[in-house]
Amino acid sequence: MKKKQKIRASSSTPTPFVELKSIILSHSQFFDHLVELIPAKFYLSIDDAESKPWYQGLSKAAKASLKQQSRQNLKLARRNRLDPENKSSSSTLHLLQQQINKIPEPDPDELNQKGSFGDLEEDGDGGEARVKSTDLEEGIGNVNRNESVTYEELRQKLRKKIDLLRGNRGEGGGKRVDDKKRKRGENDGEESSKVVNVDVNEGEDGEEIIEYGKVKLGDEEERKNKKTKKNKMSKVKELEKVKRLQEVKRENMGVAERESWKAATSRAMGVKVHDDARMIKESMKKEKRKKEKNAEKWKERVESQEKMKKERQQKRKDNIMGRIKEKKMRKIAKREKKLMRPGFEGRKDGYITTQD
Amino acid sequence: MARFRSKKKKPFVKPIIKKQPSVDHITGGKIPKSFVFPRGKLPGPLRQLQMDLRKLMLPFTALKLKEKRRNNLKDFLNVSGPMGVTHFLILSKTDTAPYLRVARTPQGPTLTFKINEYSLAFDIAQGQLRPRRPKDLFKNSPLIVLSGFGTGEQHLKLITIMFQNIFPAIDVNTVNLSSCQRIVLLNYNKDTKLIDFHVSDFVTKSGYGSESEADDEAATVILATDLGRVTRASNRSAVKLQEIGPRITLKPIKVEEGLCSGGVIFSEYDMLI
Repeated sequence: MKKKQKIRASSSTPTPFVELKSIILSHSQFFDHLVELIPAKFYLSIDDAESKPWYQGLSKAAKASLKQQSRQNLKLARRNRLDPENKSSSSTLHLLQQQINKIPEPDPDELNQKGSFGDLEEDGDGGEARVKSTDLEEGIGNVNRNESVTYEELRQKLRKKIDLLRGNRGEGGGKRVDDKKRKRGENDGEESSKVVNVDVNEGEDGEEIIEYGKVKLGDEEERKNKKTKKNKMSKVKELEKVKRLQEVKRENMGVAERESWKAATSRAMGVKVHDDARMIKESMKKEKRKKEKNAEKWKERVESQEKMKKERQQKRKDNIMGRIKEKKMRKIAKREKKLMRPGFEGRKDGYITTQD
Repeated sequence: MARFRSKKKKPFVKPIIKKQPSVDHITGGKIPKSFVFPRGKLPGPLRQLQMDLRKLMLPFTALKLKEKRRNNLKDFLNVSGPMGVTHFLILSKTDTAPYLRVARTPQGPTLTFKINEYSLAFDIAQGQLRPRRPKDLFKNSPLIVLSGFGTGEQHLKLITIMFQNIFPAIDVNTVNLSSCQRIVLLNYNKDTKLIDFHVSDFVTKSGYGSESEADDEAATVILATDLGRVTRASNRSAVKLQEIGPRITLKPIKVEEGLCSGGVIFSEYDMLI
């Protein structure tokens, strides 16, 4: 009872109509806000021919053009939707307003045609529309202003946070103050760019030069292929060179040191350095022995080849002679067969008794 | 009886052992392979360190190399020839300290390092909240980054070259980003003349631009190729390192011309003039 009296007391001075208006305004703002949250696609029923293109029965060119159009529409719609300055043009409320502004013309016609149900609906819509159209502008304006303010604020907050964290980073990041880890932090900074391009060298007094593992580039191969065949010295020449070098080394310590470092570095890289006279001599001997062995093997091979050849030829000759003999024997046997009469034994050698 | 059903006799299938190529089919050069072995008896933690080093050098090393006490260096040399092994990493221990020698096989230089301190991979994993161990971490050889070696001293140059050639070369054009998973970081401290040795693993987070993840811009990269389902090419991704491997502090002591033999061209202790 008290509350009702209180309300009555407060509302006594402003007219009830104004009070009602403010209540309606607050309600409508609330509903506007809700509608704003729903994407226009779901809230409004847009029954244009554009929103549902019918691809099926058309020719190829028509289909292509329609598809292109719809794609363009999509792009435009996306741009409008995400355009920060153009917030109001594609919001649900705005579209709703546009729709409603189109409705009033067919309204009177439809009212007459449809039944009572239809009447009620149209009326309801119209009523709503009228109230809404006055408050829509305000609502949209409000929403825009609120959003733009908070967006800027948020952005600034984010910037501040980033700067703060960036400032903190230099102090070792709080937990880890280890020397090693900090150095690794520096390394990380350089090293992360390695994934894309490898050779980042920072020469600050030679302090922070960072080197990476071996990376293969294209031109090395070509150079290597050219070098190998031409630069191969004969072993004798190498031996001479090494001997000369050794003499020089014995005299000059600086040269000796330089040469040894050079040799060590190239050996570490995988290049074969022929430094030792003894080794070269041994390899020469090895080569000679190999050559001799090869020559022996070759001789043996040729010999055995010859032998086989001779054997086969001999066998062939024997076979041929054998065949000829066989033939002759067969002929003789054939001839003698005729004279194998019973009582006689072949060709007469002479008379049994001598002639007198 | 169902229990004594006759066993199907499977035909004997010879297990196919994958042969390690000796020439890299991408870069064309020889792939460096290594042996990690001890000389003399090593105490427990050092043996674990040796195992960690072997894992580090995977896949181009003999993980289960068995060596006997009576094997000499010559035996290893004889075996390394036909197998194409190019580097030896030799661990040894004296009363003063453990030593690590890195040598190039046929008659290459030997670098001797004194191990001041070391931490095993197991201990490092224990000290982490979320230790990572992706399955095919050891399928590809690690990348290497050396920093602070650029002061121009001869022995440092030699050390860089040695370490650069222990791991196979990478062809920037054809390398698959997902195969670069481990990284070895060597940092030389000029004042104390110590080399810090770390092994880490990449952790990538995709789709992060510098706006949304208040990170320094330098820590985000644009990937050249796709790394996985989420990390796509030409998207910004944040790259972080997480340590996995042993941590060693080395002090370069000696450089010899031959394989643990030959003249000493650099020595930390006595500078012979």
